[in-house]
Amino acid sequence: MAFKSVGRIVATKGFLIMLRERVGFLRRGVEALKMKRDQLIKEAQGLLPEIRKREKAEARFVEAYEMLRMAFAAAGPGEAKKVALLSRPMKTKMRVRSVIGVEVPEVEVEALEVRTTPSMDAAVIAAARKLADAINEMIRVANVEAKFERIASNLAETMRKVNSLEKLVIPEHEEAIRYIEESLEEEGLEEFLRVKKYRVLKRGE
Amino acid sequence: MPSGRSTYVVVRAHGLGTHLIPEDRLRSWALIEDDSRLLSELANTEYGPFFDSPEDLRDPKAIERNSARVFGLRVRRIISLTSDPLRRLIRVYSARYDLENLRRIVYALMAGRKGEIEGAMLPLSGFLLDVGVLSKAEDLGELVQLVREAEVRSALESWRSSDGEDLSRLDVRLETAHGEMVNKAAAATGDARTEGVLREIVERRLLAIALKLHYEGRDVKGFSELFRGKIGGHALRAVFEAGDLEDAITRLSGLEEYKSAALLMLDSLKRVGEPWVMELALFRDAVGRTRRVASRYPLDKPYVLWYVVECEWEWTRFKTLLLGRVSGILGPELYDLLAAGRGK
Repeated sequence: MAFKSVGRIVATKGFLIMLRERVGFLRRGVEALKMKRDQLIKEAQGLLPEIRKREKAEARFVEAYEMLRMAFAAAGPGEAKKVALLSRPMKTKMRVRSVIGVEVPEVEVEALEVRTTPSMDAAVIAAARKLADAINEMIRVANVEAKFERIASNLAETMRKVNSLEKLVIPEHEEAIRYIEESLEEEGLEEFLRVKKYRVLKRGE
Repeated sequence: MPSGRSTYVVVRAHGLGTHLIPEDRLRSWALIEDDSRLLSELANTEYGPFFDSPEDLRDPKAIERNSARVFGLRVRRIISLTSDPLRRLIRVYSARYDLENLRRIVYALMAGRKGEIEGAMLPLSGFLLDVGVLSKAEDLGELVQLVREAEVRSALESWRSSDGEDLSRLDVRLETAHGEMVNKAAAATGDARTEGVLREIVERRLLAIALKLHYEGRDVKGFSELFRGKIGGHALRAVFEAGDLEDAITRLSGLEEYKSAALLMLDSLKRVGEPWVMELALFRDAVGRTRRVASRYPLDKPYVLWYVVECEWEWTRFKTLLLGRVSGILGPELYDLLAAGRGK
């Protein structure tokens, strides 16, 4: 008989005890994985409203781009260069956080400074502010999306594990236990018959 | 009684004024999609010689450089025709571009980006300051020493000594110094109407600076002294007693003089959340006032000043038209922007 997940079967009492212990361990594992699955689902569901904000973030980008076009038309590239003289690169910090054992990346904007002065064209100031807002919003949404993506892939993996344990590994182990039990029972019966036959033969001597 | 020379300048201003592109014609170009067709329209204007091929109409740097050259040539032409004190007044008025370049030099020096100075300069300068010399300065101290114009130098020195090198204060100091210089030069003409024409424009530019202090979220109270006497009392109170930008614009909309510009700003603030049409609205308003004065005194100095202001206005709108096309603003939207000083 083939029990792929059990491996080579030895129909002994020792092996039977080991298999029973293993099944107990697998059942506890399934319970733990189910708890993890439920927790991951809860986490993922909690992120859904945040994920829906992506549309809003994209709309903000479109709005910022529109304003940028207006600023370019109203003030020209020279004014943009002037603003660029005062600009500093955006600073971000990235760290990895663990959510129920799932590692999720988190990007934090440390500095996104819009340095303006009153001599700058109002259209350019408006475009810079809108763009900075849109970038901030998009980074927030990107964080949530990355978290959701990792959780979702981990959730799929956990569900696969639960399914394979529940539908394949544990039933195969139980089948193997039954097989060994039957084998041992048969062996016991044979032994009993052999002993009985031996006694009859001995009495007839 | 106007002298023969000043009459000659006024007559020339009338003649030169005919080379300006009528507003509605320039606006109608927003609806031309074909570059070759627009180029052929430009061929009959003073911009024609500066735009050789349709590619020039798609190059933002060429647009900015060439349109500035036309404006510069026009102003220098009228300066060469005038004599002091009107010549001094026009030079001082146009020196705002020198001050803009000076400001960019200061920004670059403060940001430690001296190498970027040349690329960031306006292609228009040399009315009062030798910007070429100033751009060679290695630090702020040297820059101040190189500035020859007393008022500008004094503004820079005050900024360095008492403002902790705050760039917003530098802007305010330079703009108010320029306003004062224009007012002084206008007073020297001994003609109240001439004084009035540029005072309107200077006042509105300073008003934009004051409003943008609100926009930046600065505490404006500390700046009010710098504006006193340069912005009319009502407007000064409206801006400096207001709690925030919207409040300031709303208060301005209650003043007849600023109503139309303020309403335009309020409208963009409500629709887009930003008062991005500020300069456009205030400049448009000032140009309208200049036109009215010039039409009342068509044979006097205000007409010459009207020509300078009108050249500047046309330059602004011409740039907006071509850069708007480059940035992909649709024709009708660009038409609206040129018509009312506002877009989407």
